[in-house]
Amino acid sequence: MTKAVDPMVELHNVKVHFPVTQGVIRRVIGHVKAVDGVTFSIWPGETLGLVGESGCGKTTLGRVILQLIEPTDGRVYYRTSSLGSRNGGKIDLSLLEGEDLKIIRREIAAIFQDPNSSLNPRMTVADIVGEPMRIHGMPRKERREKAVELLEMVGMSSSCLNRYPHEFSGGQRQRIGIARALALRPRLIICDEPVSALDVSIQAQVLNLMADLQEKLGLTYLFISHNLAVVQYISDRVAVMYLGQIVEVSEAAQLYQQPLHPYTEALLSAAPVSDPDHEKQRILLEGNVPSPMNPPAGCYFHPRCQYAKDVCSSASPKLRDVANGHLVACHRAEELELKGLPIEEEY
Amino acid sequence: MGINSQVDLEQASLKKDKRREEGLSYWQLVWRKFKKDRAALVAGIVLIIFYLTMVIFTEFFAPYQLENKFIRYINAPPQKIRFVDSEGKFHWRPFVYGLRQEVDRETFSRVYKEDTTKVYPIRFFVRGDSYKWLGIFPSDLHLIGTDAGGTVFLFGTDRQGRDLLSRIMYGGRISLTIGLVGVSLSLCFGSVLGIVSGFYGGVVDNIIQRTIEFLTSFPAIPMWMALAAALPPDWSSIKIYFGITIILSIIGWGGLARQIRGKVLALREEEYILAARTMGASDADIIFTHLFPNCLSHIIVSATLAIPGMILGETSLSFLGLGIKPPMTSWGVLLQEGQNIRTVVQAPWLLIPVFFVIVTVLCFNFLGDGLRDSADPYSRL
Repeated sequence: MTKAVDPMVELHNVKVHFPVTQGVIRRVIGHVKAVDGVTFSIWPGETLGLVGESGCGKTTLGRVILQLIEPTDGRVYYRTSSLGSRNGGKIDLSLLEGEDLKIIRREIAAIFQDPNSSLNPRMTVADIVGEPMRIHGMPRKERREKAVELLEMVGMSSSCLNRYPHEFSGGQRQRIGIARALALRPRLIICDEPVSALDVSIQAQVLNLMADLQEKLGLTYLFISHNLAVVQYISDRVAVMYLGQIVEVSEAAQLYQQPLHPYTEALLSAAPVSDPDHEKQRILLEGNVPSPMNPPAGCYFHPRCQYAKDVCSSASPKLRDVANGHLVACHRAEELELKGLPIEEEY
Repeated sequence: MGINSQVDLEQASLKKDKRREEGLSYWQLVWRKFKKDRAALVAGIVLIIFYLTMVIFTEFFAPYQLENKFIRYINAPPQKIRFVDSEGKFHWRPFVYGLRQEVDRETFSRVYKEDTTKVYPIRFFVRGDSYKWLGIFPSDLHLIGTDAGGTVFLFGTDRQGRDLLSRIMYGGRISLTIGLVGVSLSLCFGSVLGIVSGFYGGVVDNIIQRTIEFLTSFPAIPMWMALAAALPPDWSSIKIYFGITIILSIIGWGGLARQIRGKVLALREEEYILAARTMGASDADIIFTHLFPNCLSHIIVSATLAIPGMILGETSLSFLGLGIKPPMTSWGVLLQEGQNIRTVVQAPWLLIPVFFVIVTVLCFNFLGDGLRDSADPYSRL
């Protein structure tokens, strides 16, 4: 499906390979291929979910977009009008330096996973929420007023300002983290497992808050998670990652009901369904996830795939559009009939 | 209940709400936890007393000056404080008897006996020798003293007839401050290098750590001795004092730097540091706003535990004759004067400075332990 708007973020064949060294002279004996050739786009105003098991590279990918890690190869483009309209406002993030980088940092914010360590225990909530503004030169009085505003936006009262993080529960700390992320009015927020450390009921509250904020402030989210149910709840589109590569991208509803990649099918079969009459047919994958230092030849998933054929072990499948914006990286995508989740009844 | 008490209740709960709005800061939490460690509290109080009486208000608390020589009372034993005199009469004001010299029939050595005819009451806030407090304010007020012609040697005298209690206090001034000055030097140097080493890693870290290892591989006392012996003999006492301080801190900074580096290495990976980078914080920003305050408790604890090492170092050096030079006195110098067997047998009170050293070192250790345990108030232990 083509959209009339240009994508906000475009990744082209991004690779992040961490060198592994051995010995005193630090000889490089291999690379951990955390991200191995990822190409996708994020459109303004959408929530793109990024799912995969632990170690598949999704957090690394988030950090690349935040410019905390330099990609070994490939390009990350970001569209904004803040640095002029040269090249249609399309900027190569890795070329940014100094003042320009600082300006762009205002527009891309992050929410982190662990509410216990993402807030400095020695700073008051006022300081924490005001830090981004302080770094970008806002005077103290303004910062304080804005902090009150931000806290109210996330549903916390201004009496929190002089308190310390340890006085709050996990859910409240995560709200403070969200308030901090919103401080500079970002356009894109990278959410790295923001609800994974919270109780389920609190998860729902925080997710609803994030959805409200998106509507009110016109935010774009990259929602990284390993929890399929959460991703389904909040995302517009979902991308599935395996061993550093994107294997499937599609609209959320379609991905869950009609997956086109065997790995997605296996993931979905393991997801709990809230229907006691539903008979679960779990697909048990054989073997373990291969080491990212030594990915298999051809399709990375082929050693564990029950539908694998000869072509899968020799040629690497490309991520291609097989149906209306539904992208898959599988040689047999057209022929396979894979099982998704049953359609949940709306209550 | 009347209306008044209702209003009072409301007032009280309003006040409580106001207080609740201000969360307990880190230092308030530390203090709450610290209070529970009795040993540390007592140690802290003892140290405060030591520093008040021996460092700040020395001239007031010491009965005599540093170099007051009483040639008639050489090697006199401590005078006992009494409340009941030889006739069995009770005095409210404590007193001491005068000293009379006699020659022992068998050893032919000088011996002091109490002269019960001379009663010297101990008076407080007496006017004695004049001095200049802090070098600026002239005064002659002393806490303890007695009438003219009397002596109050609570710890006895040394072989030049100088009151030991006063000398212990003046010596304490040097011994107690050398530890602080030395540790401050180590702190400045060590914490900066430790933070830089841990934060940047790589080659810088390597160089700094190898230097520290090189320095700490020298045995402490021989190294101090060698350096102290190298100080020019014609230097004034003050210069020697600072020379000794620098020598003591040369090894000290390494240990501190290593500990800070460890703490920084752990903190570096915390998510709030990552969050700060995401916001565009500079390195300096991260170091001063995030790393340093979180290391501060560790720095304080390490410093507190390093002070006794310095005090012992200076005491050892002076005891060996290589440290502080007279007329400046420290506990080590005092111990040196008691450094022979004759002293131990005939004038054992000259070894009293040892107890002061022991008490000071113990107190700093207890204090440091207490601080270390309370430095992480977020753990619910």
